[in-house]
Amino acid sequence: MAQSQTGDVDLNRGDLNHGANDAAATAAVLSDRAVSFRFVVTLKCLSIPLDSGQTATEAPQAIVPSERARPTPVPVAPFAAPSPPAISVVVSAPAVAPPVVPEPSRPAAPPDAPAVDIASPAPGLPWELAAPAFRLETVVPTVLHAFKKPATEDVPDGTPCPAPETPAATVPPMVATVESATERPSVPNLYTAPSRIRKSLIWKLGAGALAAVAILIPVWRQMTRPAAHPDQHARTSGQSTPNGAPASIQSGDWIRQASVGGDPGFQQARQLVLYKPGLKATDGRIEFAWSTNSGDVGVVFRAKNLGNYYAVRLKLLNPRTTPTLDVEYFSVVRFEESRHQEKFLMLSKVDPALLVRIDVFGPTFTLYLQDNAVEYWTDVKLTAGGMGFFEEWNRAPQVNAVRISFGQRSEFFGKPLGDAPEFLTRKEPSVLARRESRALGGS
Amino acid sequence: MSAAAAPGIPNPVEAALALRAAGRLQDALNALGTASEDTSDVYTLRGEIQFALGRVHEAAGSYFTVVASEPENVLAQFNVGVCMQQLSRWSDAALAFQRVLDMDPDRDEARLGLGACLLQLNRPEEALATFDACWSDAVRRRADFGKAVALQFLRRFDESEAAYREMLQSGQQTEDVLTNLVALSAEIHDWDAVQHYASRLLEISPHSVPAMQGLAAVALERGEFAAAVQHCGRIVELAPECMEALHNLRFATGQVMAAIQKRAASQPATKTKNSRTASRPPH
Repeated sequence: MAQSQTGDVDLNRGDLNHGANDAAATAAVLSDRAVSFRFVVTLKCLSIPLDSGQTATEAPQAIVPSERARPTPVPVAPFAAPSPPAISVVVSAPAVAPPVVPEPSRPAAPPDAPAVDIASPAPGLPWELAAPAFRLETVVPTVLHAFKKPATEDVPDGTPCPAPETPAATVPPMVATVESATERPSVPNLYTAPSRIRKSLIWKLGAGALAAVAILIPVWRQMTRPAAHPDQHARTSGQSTPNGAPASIQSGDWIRQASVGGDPGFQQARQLVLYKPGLKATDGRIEFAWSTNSGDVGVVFRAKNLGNYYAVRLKLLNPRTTPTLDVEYFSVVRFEESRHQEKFLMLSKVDPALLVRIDVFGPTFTLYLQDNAVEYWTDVKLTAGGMGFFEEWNRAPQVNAVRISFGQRSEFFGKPLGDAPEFLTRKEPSVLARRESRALGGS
Repeated sequence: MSAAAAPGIPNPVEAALALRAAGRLQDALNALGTASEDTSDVYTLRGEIQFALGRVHEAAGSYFTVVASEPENVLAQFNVGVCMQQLSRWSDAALAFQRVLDMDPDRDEARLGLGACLLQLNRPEEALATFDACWSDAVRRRADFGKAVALQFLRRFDESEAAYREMLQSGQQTEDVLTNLVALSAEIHDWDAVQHYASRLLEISPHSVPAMQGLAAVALERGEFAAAVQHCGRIVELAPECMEALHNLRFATGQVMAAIQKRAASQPATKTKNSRTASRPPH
């Protein structure tokens, strides 16, 4: 690629009046004495390549796609500029709390435990999240819904997903606040507990459900642990994870997909936990409070399926001596996992809860920690897909105050909710308004 | 060969991608011409291929087309800046990069491009502030280099040299750093430094014209015309357009010849004197 740039600058110019220097040089040349050389200051280091992303590496894959690869209709992404979202989805504490289920392996935090409140965005941000303030106190796994819907669900590219269950009446025009309801609990470790104020009502309403959950939890845990029964796979679609768990579990607004043989991450028993209503989103943001002592946290975005997504993993190293945050990101495209990029950030201290935010705008991804941008990178291979988390080896970190927002250009929210039946249909690529300007491009 | 020859490729965009991957850039461009819809994707890909073919003007046109219909397309806006920079249209490039930064303040590559354009536009103070604003590790080294150049343009030579030396110690962009150090040292007439940096530069880049210019300048300054002839001759070989080298070669050669003639003129006199002395009969 012709990327070389001549960056030399004539040092003797003083200003851009080259003519005077040339005249002086000419005069010197005509005289019988040595002339000074015009030394140049090179700027070659500052040359910038064309931002073409990794399409060059993408193309060979398009020629010889892997067995499970799906051709992308629009190989070059239409990159949208970051724009204030016209709609925002907040995944937060349920309005009507589900029954509180004590986590078998991790005791729930007390009601007066320190809470992380990231409801109010930092002032001056281009994003103004239209979300009510909320306060989260603990993380409680809820598996009731997951167990009720054990059916395997694949998320094929282009397959319309079911419409969200959000009642239209609760969503004001252009600003929607979708909160998890009782009938839509989240997947384990991604669900938020009710506030203390509502606790008495919870116990009254959920006493019966609690008993049912107490019965169902052991069953569910047995299902997600290494397979004890050979016929367990029959409960799924015939594929299972390395530990025998179902390949896919739908749970309210979340869907969990586990890698099966041939998928990237199968060796690590990787599972994706995706926020289902945003599976077609193009731009968006995910933010949450990560309990750093609960282990690594993995975030995925632009996730179409198990073979196409971007992933970021945050890992805390040496928390007691020299706390260092390992930021690792990679992509899985057409079922091929890229090389992992890593960046190490020295921390002055270890916060028990670290605010993590990832902005996804077009080809640019920015990672924020405690509202400070710490890393950004670009990639153009995937243009749309869901957001969520990934887990490996069944290790689920504790995250609170999960909030997912989508930009204005997200297809999912591009239409009024009244058009729900077709709101996930694929739109044709936008056509330029000035077709006659093609001549500008030459060719 | 047309794109249709590629089997199993359903649409022109994919055909163009495949041809481009095979290195057949012109065929890829031709394949794109058959696209039924001129979407921003098509124009973006077209611009990329045109740029790869060295047709920067056309690439700029393609990206302009995208920007015209999608003013907030950051990628196209950025690539407009790169194309303008390639075409040495520094003001246009700076404007494009500034627009990118308005939309995406975190994009350090655009900040780097803007800083380079500001240097070319002889606005080193703004360039210095721009480079200072770079925050990501990905561009850190280049931003440091840009800051050193901006300081050099601001005639803050001590700070600039210190920055360059720091880069030298960390092994960053050694050749470019040495090139600029030669220029900086020549600017302040520190000929010992010029010789030092030029010699180092010549070690890592034996055909470096700035290095030879530095050595030639030192030789001329010190009256070592034979060495000046040697260095200027090399410059003329490598960069025939360097008129200063040509002139200095002639000048230095003249000085050498004059010295030889002077020596030759003085030698017969001495010889004659000596011979006269030798021919005298001993007393």
